[in-house]
Amino acid sequence: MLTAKNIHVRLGKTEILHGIDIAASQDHFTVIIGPNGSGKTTLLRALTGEIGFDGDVHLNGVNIASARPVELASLRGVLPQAANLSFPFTVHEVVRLGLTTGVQTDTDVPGRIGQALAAVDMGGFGGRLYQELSGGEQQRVQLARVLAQVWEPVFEGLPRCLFLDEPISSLDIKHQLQIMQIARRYADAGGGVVAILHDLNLTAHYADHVVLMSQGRVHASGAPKEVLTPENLETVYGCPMAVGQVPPGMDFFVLPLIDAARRGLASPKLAVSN
Amino acid sequence: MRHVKMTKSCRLECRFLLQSVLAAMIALPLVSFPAHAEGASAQRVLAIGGAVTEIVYALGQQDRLVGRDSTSNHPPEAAALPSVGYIRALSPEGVLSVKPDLILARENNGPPEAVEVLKSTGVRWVDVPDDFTLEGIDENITIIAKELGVPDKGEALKKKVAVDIAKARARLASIERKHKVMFVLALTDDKVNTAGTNTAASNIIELAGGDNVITEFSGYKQISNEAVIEAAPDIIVMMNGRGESADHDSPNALLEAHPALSQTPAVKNGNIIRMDGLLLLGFGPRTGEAISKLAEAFYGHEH
Amino acid sequence: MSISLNAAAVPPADMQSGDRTVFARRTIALLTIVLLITALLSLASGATDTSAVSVVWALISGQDDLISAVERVVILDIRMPRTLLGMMIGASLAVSGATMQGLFRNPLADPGIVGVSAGAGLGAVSFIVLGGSVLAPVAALFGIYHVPFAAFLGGLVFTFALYRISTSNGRTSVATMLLAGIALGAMAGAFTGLLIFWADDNQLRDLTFWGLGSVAGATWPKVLAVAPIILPILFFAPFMARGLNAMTLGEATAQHLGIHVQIFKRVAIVMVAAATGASVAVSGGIGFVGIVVPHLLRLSIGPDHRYLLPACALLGAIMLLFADAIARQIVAPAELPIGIVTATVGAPFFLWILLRRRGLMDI
Repeated sequence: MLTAKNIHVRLGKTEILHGIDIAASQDHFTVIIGPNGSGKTTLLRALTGEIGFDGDVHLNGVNIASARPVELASLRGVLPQAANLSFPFTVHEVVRLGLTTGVQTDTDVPGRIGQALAAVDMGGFGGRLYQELSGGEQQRVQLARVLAQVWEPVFEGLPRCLFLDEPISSLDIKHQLQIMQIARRYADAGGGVVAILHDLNLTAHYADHVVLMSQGRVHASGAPKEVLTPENLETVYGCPMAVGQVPPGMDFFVLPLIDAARRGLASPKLAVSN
Repeated sequence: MRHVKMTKSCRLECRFLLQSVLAAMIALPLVSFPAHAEGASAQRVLAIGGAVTEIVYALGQQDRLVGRDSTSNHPPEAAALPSVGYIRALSPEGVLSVKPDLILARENNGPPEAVEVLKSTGVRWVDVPDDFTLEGIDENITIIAKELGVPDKGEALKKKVAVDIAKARARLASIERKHKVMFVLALTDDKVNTAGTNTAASNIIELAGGDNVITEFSGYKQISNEAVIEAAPDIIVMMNGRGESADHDSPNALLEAHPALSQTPAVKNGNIIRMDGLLLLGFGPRTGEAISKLAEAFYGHEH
Repeated sequence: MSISLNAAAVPPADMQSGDRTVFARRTIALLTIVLLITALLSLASGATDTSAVSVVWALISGQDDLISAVERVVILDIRMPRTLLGMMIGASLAVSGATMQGLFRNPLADPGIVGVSAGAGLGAVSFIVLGGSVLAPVAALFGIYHVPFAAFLGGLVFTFALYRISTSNGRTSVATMLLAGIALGAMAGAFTGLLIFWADDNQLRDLTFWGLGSVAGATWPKVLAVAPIILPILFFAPFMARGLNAMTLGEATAQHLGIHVQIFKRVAIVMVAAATGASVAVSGGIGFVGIVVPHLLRLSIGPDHRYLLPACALLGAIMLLFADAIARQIVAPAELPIGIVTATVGAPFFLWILLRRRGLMDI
């Protein structure tokens, strides 16, 4: 679905990305991880056509460097890290922006907006002013907007892709899980998801394919178990990690019971040691 | 979705279109209506320009006036007439609302579009020249008197004005040395705005026997403080209300505090003359009075 | 930011869906009716007490001799062009303001921000002062309309310069436009100062009155000159609505939503420059309409440009006709320049906007 070869990005005189190759398939939830400054957001910007780059990026066979914005808008949705609004839009109107280019003309607009808001657990918030919401709520509204844009994971035989830049950074644990669920289901239904995440545990549990970045290069990529090894993580993050076991001397930790949460999300259950 | 591209050639085309439309509009002849009331029987006269109003009053025809402009403040009774605003910012409907059948307008009226619209109504519009000379005054009186149908009163007024002016200038034959005079139009922000050649101010000063000291330019302009000191006028003439301090005991305090003006012989000797603006510069029927007052102020103490 | 409610718990007290479409449509219908009424009132009122009804009736029924030449001129050559021009100018200033605010994502951007007002002012002043001397041959080409033409040209030239300065590699930076606009404005001010120095007394008065703005000089040639520019732009503006809405989230997201941002910016700037340039050219400097009208409407029908732009056109026209009615009646038979009226009402309102926004968010 998405293939990128030899991506170089220069900002001013400095080269940020040094020849990145990355591929994301449909049905897959691809997660990009790495420390600050490794070039994750820059890579995402290149893949979505926001900044210029040297190299080759194809989405569903379309060369994104030469495609028209309308074409790309029908193939993928992009969730940025932050969004500031200068005007008093309501939540309903913000989500409606996702339907700007009206990709499918027979869309039931209010219905779609309602569905998108319900998916991010913001049903009934349509009448609220976006500026009055908390950071986490605003982030969820933005995701609803992206979902409204590319609601069907597969459309006219082509998979669509969600590009998410740190979609859960301002959310509480319950909503973090909820968002990860949405991404998971999107991939399961045939779409593609490419997300930048900081949380290694959630990455380990939800991702199909992990790309570990370091200093503008891909350090490792593959299945989570292959990439998230103590050696890789220590090299890249500069900090020793325990994978799959409780580190000695740490006798208090909190982890969400993801499977239980998946089944109801009525009340998140947390595993607390002792 | 179609993308609209506004290329450079498209913009040039738009500009060309605008030019053509404007040119076509100007080329179209204005619709003209036959002129209405003969001037002689005009009963509703609108006077635009201070001197014009003065002349109408001087000809005794003030009962026929229905309106004036904002510069017409003499005689005081004229203030009771409705004002159609500033002579260069006339409003067509405003002018028409006083229902004039004759409009006497000093030259330099405007804006031109308003004047065109007014002329197109067929109301008689007469331009009265504004060339601040003695001949100009005569011409003004002749034109206005003819329009109002009182040519003999006009002749009488012209004679009276000529006599006044002659009397005022009589003493000038015997003066030995002409004083250097500077007209200061405004003193805002301590910047000296003065009259050069070819102005009403320089003409009236010369008529009153003075020597307008600023000759390097024409029109009213701001000059530097050093130029003021260079010029060293013996007498300064100003309009009422300009450069006056609020302190009645020393009305010239602002001039005395000015770095350059305070160095001039005029300010040192207290030779500052103030006069009403319309009287001084209007070049209307009271010109004789203006010359007389100025001459008296210039040379009166020398006799 | 307010504290968020736990999403699964209490839903918000106001259960509106947040879709203001119906209200917006109704408001637009209402504004249309108000505009029609205001336009008719504008035709029916003026310093003379000419009855529009009787004149129109006489003309329609072919009984020309019933009305005098004066009455005919008052209705056909004074009030009609004035009403039409006032509506077009009010609409174009308000729509241009809304467009610029959407483009710059700032509710305080006014239509002149693209440099058009500074350029128009410089063009007008140049021809007012030099039209009788140095520029006389050029002025002669356009007769009594040389000043409006110069203003329009000046506005376009300045906008073009500003656009070129802010665009490199095909990308236009609105931030650069803002700053460069300040620089160009200062340059225009310097040249204008020089021209003011050279001006004689009469020209100075003319400059001042031009700057204050007026619809009093409305004539049919002016109406017919600006209509082909302003009317198409007013009809085209709603097509910009989608792009302007998308731009609210920033240029990057707008591009992701399918808008070709660089082309869109170019089109928006040209639109605003032409419409504002034409308006300023024939009426001088009329301020605040471009800020007050969009802001008022955003507070009531919301910032969705699909409805905001048409509503701005309507309310802008209404507001200008109102201001014009005040301008020509309040000191009749003299007239106030309309810019004074819009400033007297607009400036305090502008301050109010600023004071209210201090607490809400940073611009």
